[in-house]
Amino acid sequence: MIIAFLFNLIVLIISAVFSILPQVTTLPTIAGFDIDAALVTGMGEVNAFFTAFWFAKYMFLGFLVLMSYYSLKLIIRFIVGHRAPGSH
Amino acid sequence: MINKLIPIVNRFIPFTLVLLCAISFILPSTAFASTQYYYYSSYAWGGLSLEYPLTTVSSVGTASLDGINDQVARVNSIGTTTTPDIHVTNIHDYGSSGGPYSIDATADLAGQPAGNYIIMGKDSGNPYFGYCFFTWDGSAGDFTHCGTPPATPDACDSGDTRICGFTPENNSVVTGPDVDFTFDAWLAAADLGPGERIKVRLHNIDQNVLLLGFLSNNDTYIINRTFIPGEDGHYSYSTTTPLADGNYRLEAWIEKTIFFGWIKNPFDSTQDQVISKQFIVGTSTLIGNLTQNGFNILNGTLVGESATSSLALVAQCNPLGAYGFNMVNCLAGLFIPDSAQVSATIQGMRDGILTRLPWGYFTRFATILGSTATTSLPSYTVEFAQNTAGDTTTLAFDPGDMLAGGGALVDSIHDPYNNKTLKDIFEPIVQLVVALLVLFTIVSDLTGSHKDSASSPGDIASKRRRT
Repeated sequence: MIIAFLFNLIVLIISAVFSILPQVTTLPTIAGFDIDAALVTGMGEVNAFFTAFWFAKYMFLGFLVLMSYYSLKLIIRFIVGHRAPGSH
Repeated sequence: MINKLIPIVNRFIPFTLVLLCAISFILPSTAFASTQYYYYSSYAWGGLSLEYPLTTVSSVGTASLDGINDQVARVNSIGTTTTPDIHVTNIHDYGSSGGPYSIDATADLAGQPAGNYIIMGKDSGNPYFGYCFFTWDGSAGDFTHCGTPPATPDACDSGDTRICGFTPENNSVVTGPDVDFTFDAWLAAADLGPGERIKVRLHNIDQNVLLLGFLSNNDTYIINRTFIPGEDGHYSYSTTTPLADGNYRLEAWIEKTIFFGWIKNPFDSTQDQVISKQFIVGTSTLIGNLTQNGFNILNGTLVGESATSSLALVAQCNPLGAYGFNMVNCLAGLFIPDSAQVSATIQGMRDGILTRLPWGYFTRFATILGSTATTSLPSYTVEFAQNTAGDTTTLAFDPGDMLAGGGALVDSIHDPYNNKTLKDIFEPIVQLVVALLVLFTIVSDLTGSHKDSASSPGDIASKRRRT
């Protein structure tokens, strides 16, 4: 209960700070073009493609992992600046 | 004075904690060794095979047949304690409608010879099921084990993702050397994904875990199967394995992994689908009993109870409370968050932080990229005019059919020795190559080695002069 309380407290405080920002659940529609629906449909079709070309699925997953890494690196660099690993 | 006492108390705190842990671990283990196991009796009725603890009669009692709510209950004799009789003799019937029934041992079994008896019951239209076995000594009855009707077997054909069936039963004693294993799981369509795994594992726990585990920690798995589901539905596995006498642990779990199955996804709710069972083949061993009993206690305390409610455990922190004092349960309840609390915290983090503008767009984008739902590919139809006016020819092209046909064609190719498809053979290799490439890219980026290799010899020489 103590650990759960601490976790909840941290999440509650951060959530309270960010509660001034609007919540988004879908990507925006710009000039009549629904980006969210287009991406969902596109990814569904790519996944259908992967059912036959299964090896491409792993390349795509590898791409996603790399993108996750670079995103994480950007966030860390934003927070700690030049002290981030790999920023030399 | 107090200043002198504090170091002395501090010195004894670790020793006291270790001693308490040892006592809480060893006491139940020694009790377990003395009480041994329930003797199990098997009985078949109407095609249904049952296993129930054979209760020894020690006092007069009654059994409220909670599971028999509608139609009929009866008590049958199944022979003496030394000579079980499969040809049962009906002793007493309890009505043909209504219920629940209550069996009074003194009245209903008066005059019956000592022996083994079974309480049977059934609902309308269903066959009789065994409610409990007990031994009657001619004058008294004890229905301690009659309170729980047998669980209805899980049909495992719909519902949430779960492990439906799993044998041998927990704490059972089976006869070796050949032991039968069965495993059934249901995977819901919503949980189907590239990282979903269903695993079954069996290992010996005589020496590998507790004391000798420190000396020889090689844990050899006798059964180690991983199912990578390609579609939702019922997954079953059964095998017969020869096992030497001893204590064994059978584990099964459903998990969702990331990074090509390397790492368990801590944010996935199916992680809770873990079942462990211990059983004995033939004769158990001392270390095996210690391991088995200790695991049961700790697993029941730290996983079972804390997973359902840490409040129930914290209630045992009060030495004067009605729930009794238990230090292990108290500490577990205080410091180990239960699964509901962790899920609520993670969901709160998602809702309160990750979905906020502007990074909420990135979260949504990542969610879409990580989805596994498929959409039918668009089909095309082209219409041509013929030579004759008014006649047309239509050509239809459906990429979905092409992909399905291509996939079926590739899957139809098997190697002649192991009957594996191309995917079975090459999928692990592709996974390994992609994973190594990703790992190499990340490591080279972190170490900056690609920058040096891209530099000209002159740049490297100037860098050396600077250093």
